[in-house]
Amino acid sequence: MNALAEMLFPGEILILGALIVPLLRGRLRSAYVLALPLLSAAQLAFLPLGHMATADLFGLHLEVVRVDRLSRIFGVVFHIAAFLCCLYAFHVKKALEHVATLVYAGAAIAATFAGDLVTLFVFWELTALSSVFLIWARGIDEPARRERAYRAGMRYLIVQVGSGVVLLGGILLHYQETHTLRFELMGLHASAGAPWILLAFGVKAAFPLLHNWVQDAYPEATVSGTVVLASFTTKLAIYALARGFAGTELLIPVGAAMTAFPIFYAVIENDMRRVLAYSLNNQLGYMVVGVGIGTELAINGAAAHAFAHILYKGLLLMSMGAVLYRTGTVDASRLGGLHKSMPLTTVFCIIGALSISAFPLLSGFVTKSMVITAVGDAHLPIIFGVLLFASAGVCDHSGIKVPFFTFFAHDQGWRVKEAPVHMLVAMGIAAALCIGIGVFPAALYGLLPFPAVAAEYHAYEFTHVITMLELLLFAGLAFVVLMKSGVYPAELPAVNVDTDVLYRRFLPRFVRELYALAAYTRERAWSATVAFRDATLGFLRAHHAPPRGSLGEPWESSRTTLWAAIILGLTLLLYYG
Amino acid sequence: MSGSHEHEREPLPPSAIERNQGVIVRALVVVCVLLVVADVVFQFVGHRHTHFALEEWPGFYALTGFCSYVFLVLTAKQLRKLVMRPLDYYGEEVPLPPRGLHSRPGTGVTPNGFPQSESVRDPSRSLAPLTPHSSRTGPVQGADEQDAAGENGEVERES
Repeated sequence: MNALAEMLFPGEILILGALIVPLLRGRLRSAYVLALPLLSAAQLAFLPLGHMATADLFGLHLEVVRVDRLSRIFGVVFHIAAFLCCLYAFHVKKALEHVATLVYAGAAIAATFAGDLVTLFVFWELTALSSVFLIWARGIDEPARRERAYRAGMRYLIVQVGSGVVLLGGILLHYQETHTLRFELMGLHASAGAPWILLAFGVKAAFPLLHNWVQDAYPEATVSGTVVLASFTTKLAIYALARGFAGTELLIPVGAAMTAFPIFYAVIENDMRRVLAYSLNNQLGYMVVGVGIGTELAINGAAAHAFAHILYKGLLLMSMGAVLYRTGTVDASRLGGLHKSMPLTTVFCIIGALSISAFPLLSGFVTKSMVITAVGDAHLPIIFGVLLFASAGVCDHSGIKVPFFTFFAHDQGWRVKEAPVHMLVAMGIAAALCIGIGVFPAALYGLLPFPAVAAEYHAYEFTHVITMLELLLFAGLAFVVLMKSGVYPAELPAVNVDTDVLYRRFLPRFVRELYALAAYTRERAWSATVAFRDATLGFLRAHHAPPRGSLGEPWESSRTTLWAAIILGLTLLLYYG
Repeated sequence: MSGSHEHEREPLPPSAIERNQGVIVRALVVVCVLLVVADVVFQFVGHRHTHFALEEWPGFYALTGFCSYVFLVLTAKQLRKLVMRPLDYYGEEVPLPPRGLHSRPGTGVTPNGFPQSESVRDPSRSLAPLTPHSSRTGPVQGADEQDAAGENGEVERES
């Protein structure tokens, strides 16, 4: 079996298998789509740690597959996510979304196990190219959104492919200097290409000011597409950072800014899936801080948090997707009271919300604490404070706002059915995993890159439990106080401009102005030329039209002879002189 | 899904959770108090695993949680003045909520998602719960909604 498993690279089953999906119909296709991630997971199970596969291409020595503990934990969670996404998308009739999901997941898995930079680049770009169809598919489902989905998809694609181009440039510079294509710890100063590679990873990891593509694109995807999108790209970037830039100190403040900056937007955003996209950004911040610290505990924390994050973020987005599927909206201003008609979805959403808030006995608690402990061990009081502030903030937007304003708050009279069974099962599995990891963290800790360090770490230590509970419950108390006093901002249907205003508003306006200026200049230059021509001709006509003026009067033959003699003389002089 | 959509806008009868709001809030307060008490007691009988001096204080995390939350929400509220724009700010149409499979049949939702036409026909039915917004938010709303909302004035949100 091992030999069979080693014939293919991880993810290949998903990528190649996806191509057959359009040929199948009905139940057969559904069963096939669900079976592919399981088959791929089985392949991964047979690949031993330390497995490598190499290939030679155009004189380059490529390490196509590398299975080690760091890549394996991401590979495992990507497989779980792929299966849950396929299950959640069971209702989707068109093949497009299934193919996009499978190819995208396969590409993310293949990129995770890539041992060299060229293979990484190829699958890095494939994730971009395949995932954009999940956004465009919304335009097919809902013709009214076609234009909007198309534009959002194009913006997403430009950013994603742009990140790939930067990565390729970085790889070329790196190769020129170091003569190696191995993807391993490089740090910022390894070569002139390393900062560019970091920038490419940073775009996909949604670094501050490079982040807005997440909030722009993810909420525009289909019901299941958003769940798929949120599972892979950003976590692949976290893996790439952990592999290449562990211990790069620059990442610590960058990550801290990521945890704090997006939560302000999350508080005022109306679209619940956009709120979750902002909160996704905030969660990535913890992982980036962990990677930046780079100790064994911190890398464990980043990997574990990515693992838990994919599950609870997926769960939250699945619950909002179910709401969107049933009500046609995820606007907080138009939702409320849904717990009466969608009780199970409510329960699953609350489990996801408590997990992301890092409530004890749930997954976020046992993973985020590793990163925070690592920050404490590194004695970074400011970063520590920012992370605590952000933890209280997560409690607001993801922990309270999303479930409260959707399922409780003001009953808006929705009478809808509970989410479809396949969605409930997918949410149920994700919720069970959230609880399972929270209650039995040892199972996850055993998968971490540094299991020895993880085994010594105890999340359920009294100080930690009581302080975290204090932090969260008093944040909840603050919510009650703000609501009762009427200070809590109402949910408003509006656009909140973020950095996207630069390229969605200012850049187009700038280009338009530039065009207008160019047109104006051309117009003015042309009319000035015409005016000059007309004036000159007018002057000549006025003053030199026969018989007036020196140019207008008829020449005498003596004068012509004189000028001919002068010109002849000058020519002779120049020629023989 | 039964009944005409006249009834669909009316809230369902209150659930157990809605009836017992007060109990839930009181329970939260009690748990918070107990936590602080436990924290203070722990201060004397246990050993704290901390990294920074501030963390030694009992109730530090409670205060941090509460203050962070209030600061975050109030700051974000101010941020709205800076970043909030109308829905059509980017010139991308605000699309019709999908019908058929994805939506409740016969709810008569209009292109921007608000049941405007219904309210024009039946002014007695309040629009307010569907568009909770205060009078400050004039520029965000379309002119039509503003008119409709004008009758209701500022809307209190129930907690």
